[in-house]
Amino acid sequence: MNIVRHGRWRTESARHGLAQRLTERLERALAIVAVAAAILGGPAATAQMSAPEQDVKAAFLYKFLGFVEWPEGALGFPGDPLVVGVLGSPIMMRALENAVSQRTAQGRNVAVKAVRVGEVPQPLHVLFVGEHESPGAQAAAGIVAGRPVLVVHDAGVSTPGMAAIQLLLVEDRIRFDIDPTQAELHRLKISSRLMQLARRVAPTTGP
Amino acid sequence: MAQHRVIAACLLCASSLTGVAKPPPSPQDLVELSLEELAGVRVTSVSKRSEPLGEAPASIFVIGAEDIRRSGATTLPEVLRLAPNLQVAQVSASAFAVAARGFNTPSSNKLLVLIDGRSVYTPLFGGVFWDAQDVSLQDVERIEVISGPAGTLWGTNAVNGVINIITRPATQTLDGDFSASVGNRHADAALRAGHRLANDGAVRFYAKHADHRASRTEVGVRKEDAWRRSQAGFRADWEQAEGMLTLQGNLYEGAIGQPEPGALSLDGVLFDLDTIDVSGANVLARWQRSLSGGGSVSAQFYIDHTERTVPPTFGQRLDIADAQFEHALGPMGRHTLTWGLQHRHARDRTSHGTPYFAFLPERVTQRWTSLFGQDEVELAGGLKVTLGVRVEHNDYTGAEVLPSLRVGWTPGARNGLVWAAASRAVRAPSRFDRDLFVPAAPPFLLAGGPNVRSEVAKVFELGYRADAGHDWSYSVTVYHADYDHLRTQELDASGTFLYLSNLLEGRSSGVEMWGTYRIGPSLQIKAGFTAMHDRFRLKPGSTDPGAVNTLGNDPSHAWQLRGVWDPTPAVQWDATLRRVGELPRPNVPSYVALDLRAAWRLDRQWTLSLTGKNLLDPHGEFTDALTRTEVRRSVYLGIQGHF
Repeated sequence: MNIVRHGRWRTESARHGLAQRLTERLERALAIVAVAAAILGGPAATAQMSAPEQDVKAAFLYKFLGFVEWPEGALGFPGDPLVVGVLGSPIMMRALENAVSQRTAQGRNVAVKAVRVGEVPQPLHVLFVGEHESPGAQAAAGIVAGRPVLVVHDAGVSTPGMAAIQLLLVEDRIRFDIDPTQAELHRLKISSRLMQLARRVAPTTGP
Repeated sequence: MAQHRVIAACLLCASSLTGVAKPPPSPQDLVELSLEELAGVRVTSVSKRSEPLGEAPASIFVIGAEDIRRSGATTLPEVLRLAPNLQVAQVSASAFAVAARGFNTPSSNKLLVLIDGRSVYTPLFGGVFWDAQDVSLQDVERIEVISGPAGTLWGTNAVNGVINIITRPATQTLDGDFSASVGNRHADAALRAGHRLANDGAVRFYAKHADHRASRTEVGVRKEDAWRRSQAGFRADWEQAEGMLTLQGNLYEGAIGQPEPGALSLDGVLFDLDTIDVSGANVLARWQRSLSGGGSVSAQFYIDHTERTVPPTFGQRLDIADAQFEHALGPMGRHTLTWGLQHRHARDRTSHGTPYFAFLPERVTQRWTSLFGQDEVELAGGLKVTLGVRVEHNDYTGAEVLPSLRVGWTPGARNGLVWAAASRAVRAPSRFDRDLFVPAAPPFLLAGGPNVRSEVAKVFELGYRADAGHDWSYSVTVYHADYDHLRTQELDASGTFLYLSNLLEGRSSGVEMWGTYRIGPSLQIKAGFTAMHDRFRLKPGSTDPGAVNTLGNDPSHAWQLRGVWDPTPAVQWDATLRRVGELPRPNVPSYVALDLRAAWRLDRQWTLSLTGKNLLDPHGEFTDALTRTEVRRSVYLGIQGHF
């Protein structure tokens, strides 16, 4: 670096000077590495996109639909839609409607409906619970107990025993945890491929 | 300069590539991604006001809610230690010096701190009274730590960084939460309860109290700096399909012992000292709505009342009213425009209790008005350019212009992000710069700073960020900043008094890097490293050889290493090792500190934890050997439960 000298200079300790020279060299090296990595193609890395939380969660939910097996007959006749119920979050409901519009899952159209505790639509194949561990969420999970419904819980803290799949915000990314026991209790089978991509898979408890 | 040439080379390469422009992802685009790609998308919070610059390339470290919980930290400055791009030094039991990229002092003034959109820096000296700031930590969604200039979006004062603390919407905290910890240095407890409201709304209430013991100096002298603080508040949100309405309020009061022996500083530490009383109340309303066409609009208004009494020397009552409006237009071709305005009104009433110093005039009404605009342009070859400018008017110096240019480049779809930025940021004068008089009545020895102007920073940055799902991620930033018109103390020609002026210039450059790496399903390693060097030069005519010593005391490097281990679903282990380099003036030796935490999930609702902080040798972190606090081992048991 060229620095024009005039005026009085602060005296610097020798150690300060050494740290300074090392840092300068390090910065220059890093700058070159950064440019080289970019041009030559660094290690395989995902795109640096950012999007609103609800859209990312809705996209995840839509994707999950392709990795779950419902029991024979649970989805109704071949032309019937796959019904996703949303408890508690109008923002998520709108995001889900955007995500599934004109798309299919399991070879069927996807319909999104609002769910209130006490007003659970029939048939229902997926229940998205948009609240964190509130009494409402517990009640909702109770309502669909034993039924072939995939419960996906938008959780703040990972809570066992709530749902087959939990969505979590970790720093600024969305992650998901899978609980195969919960899925079994609802007679669903979750593909091992999805389990590989989960952050955590709860161990299966005994029969 | 090396950095300028590198940035130019980058841009030249980028512009020579051809390719299809990539528009920002719509919800339909997200569904097209594979699960692995979805896992890499950075999520913008629905709870904070829409601010495109937060998505624009910059050196941002995000402290997540899980990190906060697992660190065992109970106060904000302790939580901020998790960010590798911040320097956090404990000065006394209650006081911390927090800064990014240098100039660290307990009254460091180049960092903007916001809690849910409410700015918590004081116009008194342009810094933060950390002993009066708190949030309900269990309700924090994330903390974004941006190092580097962010003046275009956030205004004067965001010279070296912004800390943006965001809490979760009430609709996500409908359960009850209780946490408490007790140990050899402190005890605290916090309670939160949530409740549904009509029209898809929810509200939560919280209350917390903390009590901290006094600290000792390195020679064993007890400093009378014990402190206690209580805070309560609420947050209500109504979530509609198109937007959200938020209402928040907080109330706090605290008694903070003034450490002795002490030295003059704007944390209110002075001479022979009684307990500092702090109290405050604030309310905030925020309305956000998305518009058809992909745009959004948001408005925010808050009132903040703070009181601080520092016997016997000084008292302050400050009322701030702040209104902001922002409009993000949906994408139009390759351009995405955003603009906004802000007006702030402050009424400051200071008083002095001794004849030693005073802020004159004692009562002052101040206004700030600003307007900003930003354009994000998608160019060919995965290149995105963000141009922004903010014009802010303040009562001391009139209009200040804060422009910035950011370039982000994603070559191909899978190669991380290279970014570069050039910005001009400004620290406008505070009352400390202009209105400080010693003694309180003439003849003055220090006669304020009638002509103090804004400090200016011109910053150039280059960075690279990449990640692969949740296996690894890393980020590297190099920066160079030219500072001008830094504050100095000058002797008047008559030789009878001093006044504040701006006759110091300098430059600093450094590197910030951090990364995470996952070893197996239950172990993750996180590391961070920063290095910086700076040099300063008095301008001709200055008579203040001690200026550099008051600017800040910064280490040339610091690193931290964290291990996050979950051996079983019911057990969590966290270990943090950090080393901070030597501080030059006054000298503080380098130190290594170790924090450990173990937590056991007792059942579905309760978790027990044991935390140890500073488990290695006691060490000092700031100021001279005679007066600095010796930071010693602190061990505490914690309990947390949902109900």
